[in-house]
Amino acid sequence: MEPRVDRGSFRDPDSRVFYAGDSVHRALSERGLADWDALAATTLFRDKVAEGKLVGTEQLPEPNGLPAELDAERVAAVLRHDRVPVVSYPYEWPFGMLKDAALLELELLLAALDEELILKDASPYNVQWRGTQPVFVDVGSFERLREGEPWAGYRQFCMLLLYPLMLQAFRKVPFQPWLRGSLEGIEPAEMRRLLTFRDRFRRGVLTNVVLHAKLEARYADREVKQDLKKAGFRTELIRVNARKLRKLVRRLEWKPGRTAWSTYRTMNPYDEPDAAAKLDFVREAAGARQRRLVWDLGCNDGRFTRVAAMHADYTLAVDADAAVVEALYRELRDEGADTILPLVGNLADPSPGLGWRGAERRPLVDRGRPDLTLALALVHHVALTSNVPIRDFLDWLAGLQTELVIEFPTRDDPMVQRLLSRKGPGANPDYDTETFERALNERWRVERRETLPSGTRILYRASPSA
Amino acid sequence: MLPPAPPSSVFSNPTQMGGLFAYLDAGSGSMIVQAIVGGVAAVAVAGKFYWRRFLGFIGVRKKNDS
Repeated sequence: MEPRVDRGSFRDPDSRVFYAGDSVHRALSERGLADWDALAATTLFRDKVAEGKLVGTEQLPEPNGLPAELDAERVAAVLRHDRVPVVSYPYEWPFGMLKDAALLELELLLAALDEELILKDASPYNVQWRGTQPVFVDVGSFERLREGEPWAGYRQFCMLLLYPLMLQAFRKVPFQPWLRGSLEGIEPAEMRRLLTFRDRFRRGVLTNVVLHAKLEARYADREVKQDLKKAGFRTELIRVNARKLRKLVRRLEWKPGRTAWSTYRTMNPYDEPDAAAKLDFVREAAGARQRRLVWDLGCNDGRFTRVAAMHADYTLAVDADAAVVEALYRELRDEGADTILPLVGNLADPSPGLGWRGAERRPLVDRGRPDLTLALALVHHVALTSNVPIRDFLDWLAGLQTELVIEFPTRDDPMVQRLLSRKGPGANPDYDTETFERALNERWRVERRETLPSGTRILYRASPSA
Repeated sequence: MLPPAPPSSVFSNPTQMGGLFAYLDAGSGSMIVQAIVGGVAAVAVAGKFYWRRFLGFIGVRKKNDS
């Protein structure tokens, strides 16, 4: 396959990511190379790579094999990075993940300052995950410090990290839709309007939001960098500010209230005997062989994700409810799990292609196709709550070319009854066992079928028929 | 209260813009915040910054005066 430039890597001309075969490379300009040389010589680089906080990187002997889109004359060197298993984006993370990403950025900024370096930006997209371990992947973000200049990444840190966290912590408004709607994040003036009068007296708001918004409006078209330098701005101020931001971010907490899903298990006692049978079924299906990538769609508390993950290199645990994903993330993080990535995502409204040419941020299916997918206690919500036709849903799954463990709650199932009762008699006529099984058999080779003890739920294990 | 902002032509000098090196617009307001929130160390810097602006505003200091 021809080498190709990453469609999301064009903003920094000194450092462009491209793919060559299975490898992730980075093309550096002369200045980018000088910055890399400075970073590579530090203990910071060695230590943070060893701790897994900075992506493993080596310089290739020759800058060869460049994609045609890059001007070879401007490329001074090529780096090769270790790969992260699956790329994810801040609008797919629960609160705790965005917070940990923010803390990693500040940790690296402070460490960089000690080495006469600085981060030239503060994008959360520079942070990726190995399970619940955040890893900073943009080595090109480190540059040599220029004394007397403020931190260029501060505004971006506020817009894409601090404000979204504040929005969720103070206002209990989920940040994910906002970050998905605006790749630049929340403007200081917008953030000021989003907060209440009471919020202004919370730690860090007066300066980082209110004053920030005011000064931004006042100095919109004015150049002040030289004036600040002459007034004696020095690196120590960046250090003080970064420490304050770290303290501020650490104190931001989101306590999710009870959501329909976070109480799902306790409110559905009938589910318990079924859950045991389901665990056996999933254990057998997952244990058949080692999988590269498993998706657990509608993962809830991750009970079945964990079983599947025992036989997979990497597992995505996806749920539309940020509260259950947050709880799962905290659990997995405390365990140090590095092969399960919890993500917030709604199947009926999945992450689209976003940004420049709609390709800067990619849809989830383009970032790693599963070879096994779990769809447990899911299809009735997709079909009845979101009104996605059953056949359409199975078509979409079939397009993934994945093995499948899928649960079908029949029309007699209490949860299905509850969903249907809100809609009136005769709603969703395509939702019945016969239609489902016919559609499933048209697209898959069903290898096992088991009715759960409740009698209203059926499990299927299927392989792509082609 | 913040002192009134002088017209941009008073201070900006494109040849001196350190921004030539940055791909990300740091934002003028965002830079000033950093000079204000840095605790004790920031007081002198912010004071001097605004004093220079004030002198520029009343015409004591010319735009390229350093």
